[in-house]
Amino acid sequence: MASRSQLRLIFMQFSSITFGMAAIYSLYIINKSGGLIYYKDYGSSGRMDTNDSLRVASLWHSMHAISQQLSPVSGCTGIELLQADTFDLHCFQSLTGTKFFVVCEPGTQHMESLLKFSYELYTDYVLKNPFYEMEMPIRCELFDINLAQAVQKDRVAFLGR
Amino acid sequence: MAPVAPRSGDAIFANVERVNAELFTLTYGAIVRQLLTDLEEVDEVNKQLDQMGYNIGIRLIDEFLAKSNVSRCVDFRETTDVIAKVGFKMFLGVTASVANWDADGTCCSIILEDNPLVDFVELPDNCQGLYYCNILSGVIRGALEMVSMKTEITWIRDVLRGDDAFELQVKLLKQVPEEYPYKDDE
Repeated sequence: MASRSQLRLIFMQFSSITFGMAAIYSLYIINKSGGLIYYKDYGSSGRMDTNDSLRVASLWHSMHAISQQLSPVSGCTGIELLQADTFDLHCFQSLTGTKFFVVCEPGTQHMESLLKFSYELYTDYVLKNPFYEMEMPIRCELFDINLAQAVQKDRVAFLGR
Repeated sequence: MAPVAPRSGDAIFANVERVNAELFTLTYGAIVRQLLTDLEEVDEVNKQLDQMGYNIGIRLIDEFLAKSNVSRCVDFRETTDVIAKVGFKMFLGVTASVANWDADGTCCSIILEDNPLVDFVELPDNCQGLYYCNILSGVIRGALEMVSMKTEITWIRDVLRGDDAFELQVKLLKQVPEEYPYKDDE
């Protein structure tokens, strides 16, 4: 009995370490013309000031476009994942041209689902807000709240998906 | 990640939040009535409804794409099919059919037998020129424009004018290429 509960404890520690490690640094949304319309930091590392975040967004927009041109395969829709030593960048582009991308610790799982879910939240809490102007920076509190919850919950909710 | 299979219109309709159909129908009626009072001219009301639909469509397309998991359509035939089978079901709770294709596949009709917008409506004599459901054509035009298809949409049949169904003619004017306008250095 004792050994079994010990084992469970070890497993719990192990899982909290592996999932706890999976930190999301920040999330960006770029409109179809390459303008940054949303940027949020989650966590203490990798924070950026406004200028840097704008720079990352416009760089990513261009790189994404160039990657489509460079790809030897026809029908390429652009970079989906950029892996670096210190971070992963996952990108999702909707068919309407809006790009969502998340910067996270290397090896973080389920980021595709998180981006897909962010897109759904965007359609619900941003596009349905009658006072939101299309293509403009997003200042919608409900979106902030729901997105923050999704980012927190991702370890739990998206694992089961 | 494996691509997620597109969902059927019925499956989405079962999952999204819905409002009472009567509330929806009456609200739409109130809007049209108010527009008639404000603008006085039936033609202006048609224009305004189309514009309102367009404004809805350019936002609604993203919700449609996010929740239906449909991927890029290969041609215009598939697009209209998806609108009729998935789109109408998801947002209006009814299914439409597609017919009357022209030879080059750029023009067809979406036929709506059942339309919740007109449940209690009878057009009075002084509104005969009104396209009561003109908001729908605007929605489709706006939504398709966001996925780079310029379309022109006209009403062919209208139950309120004594026809047996609603028929929307959807004509693809041009497909704006999605590539960035790169110019190679000469």
